[in-house]
Amino acid sequence: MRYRTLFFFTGKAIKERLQRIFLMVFAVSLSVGLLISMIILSKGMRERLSEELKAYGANALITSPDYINEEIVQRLSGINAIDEVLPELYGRACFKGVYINVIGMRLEDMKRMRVTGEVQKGSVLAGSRLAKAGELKTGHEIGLSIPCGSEEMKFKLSGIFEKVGSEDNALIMELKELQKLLGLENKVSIIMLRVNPAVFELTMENLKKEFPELEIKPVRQIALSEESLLKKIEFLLFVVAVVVVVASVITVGGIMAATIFERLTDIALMKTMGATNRQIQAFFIVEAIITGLLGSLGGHLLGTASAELIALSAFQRAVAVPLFSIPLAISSGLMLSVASAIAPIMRITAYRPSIILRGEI
Amino acid sequence: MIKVRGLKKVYPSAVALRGVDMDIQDNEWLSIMGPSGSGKSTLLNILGGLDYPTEGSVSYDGKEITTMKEDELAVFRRENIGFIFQQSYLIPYLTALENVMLAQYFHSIVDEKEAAEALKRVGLSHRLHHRPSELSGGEQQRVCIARALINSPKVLLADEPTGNLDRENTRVILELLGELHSNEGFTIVLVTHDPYVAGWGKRLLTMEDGRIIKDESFHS
Repeated sequence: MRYRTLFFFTGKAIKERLQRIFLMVFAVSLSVGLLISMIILSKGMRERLSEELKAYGANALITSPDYINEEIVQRLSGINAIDEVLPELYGRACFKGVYINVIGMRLEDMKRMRVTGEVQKGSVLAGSRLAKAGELKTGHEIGLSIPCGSEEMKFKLSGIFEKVGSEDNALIMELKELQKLLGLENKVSIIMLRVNPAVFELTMENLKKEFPELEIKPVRQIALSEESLLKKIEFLLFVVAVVVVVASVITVGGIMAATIFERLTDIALMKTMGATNRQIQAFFIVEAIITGLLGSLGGHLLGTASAELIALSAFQRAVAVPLFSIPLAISSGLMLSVASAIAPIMRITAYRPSIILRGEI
Repeated sequence: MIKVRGLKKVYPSAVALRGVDMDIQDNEWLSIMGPSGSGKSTLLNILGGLDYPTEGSVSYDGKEITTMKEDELAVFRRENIGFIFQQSYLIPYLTALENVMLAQYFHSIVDEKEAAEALKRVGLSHRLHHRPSELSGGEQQRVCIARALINSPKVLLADEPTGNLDRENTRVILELLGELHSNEGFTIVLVTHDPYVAGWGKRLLTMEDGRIIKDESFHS
């Protein structure tokens, strides 16, 4: 009953000051919105940036003095922090009486290469320099043998690729076919990894512990620049978030103080009626809670919308809104609103009613 | 009985009370008169526990209030004292009925019927759901009286309650106070600078420069 009456009188006070309350809710919404937007972007950006940075290529290499068993590829693929596993087998095979470099890759990895022509099952791709030197054209039949003069395995040349480095002088074919040709079933020469930059160092340590027989090395330049870029952006977002929170407390606090101080006479009057400080404070705290809740709701909508807009324009993709952003918006909105109200409420209820009614404040 | 002894109040810029001693009997109607700055409102504020004296004591039936902490004073006020001021201080966004109910809320529980009855007693049964801005000055002051008396206080402290009213409304308010005083038997301490208003009391204290200079009793 008492709570109902408390809410009744607070509701009346809110209804009377709709404009001021709207301003307060707007200020809380703006602050919560900025905070939520920063958090969604910060979380989403790590993931999006990681994806964007994949274009840099592999950021870790696994090698071994001997060939690596292909079973390791399966184990690596099951690790969450590893976005991509690219096994390759290197060998040399005789083509038209000359030994050339041959690279074995999985068909799905071959399909991601930029090729003039196409990637087909059972076919081979030739580097542009090799194609030029051997006058090879798509559709040609390529006969490979080991050693020279032995029985040839026939492949169709389905595409030509261009790459900087020695690969441009090589043939690329399906891993299984090359393993068969070289007699190295289930073996690979190297495994290239794309480790999530956000957990790069930790993952590298774990891999070293799990595969002590292998050499696991970061492709330093790429890994370090990715991590440093992410850290810089995160720090920037953190600084902006802190500035936003401080500015918000000042703004909301200012509006709240103005709202409370304009009711100075009402408060003095309540005191003459025998209201205790706690009873008066309860009115304003309830008002702050209502304002905070409305502001949180608005802030979450505002924050989500702005984060999505920024993500769409920066990454051309939406970012996921984490579930924890909802309780975070509510708690930050409530904290902001109630914390901003506490100081002026304490100050105002400390005044003696006689001073207020005499108009000395 | 209210006992006031050696009451002094010193502000940084002025001395408001220079040692006031007096007794106020139960059911008494005491008027306090004096020019502006004579200390009468300060005295009333201290009597009502709205302010603390610099020196001296005020006790109600032997209970000293000047040593009470603020929240104790608030409880004391809600149980024992009703206030009426020159300006009809009403919460502007509440109706007449809700203004009275607010005083009930701070005291104990809200009883709408009882609040409406209190407004009926001051002749405002037709104005229950009007906001202060929709009421005349006299009507607003009557709402203040209903609010001051809703929790059945032992003492009604009135600070220039008719100061903003014309003669006709002043008479209406004083008649109403007189009737309620006779029926309900509470003590009235009324501060005024108007001899006509002061004449409604049974006793008149005259103050000047922070002191009581005359204490007169009238026979009805």
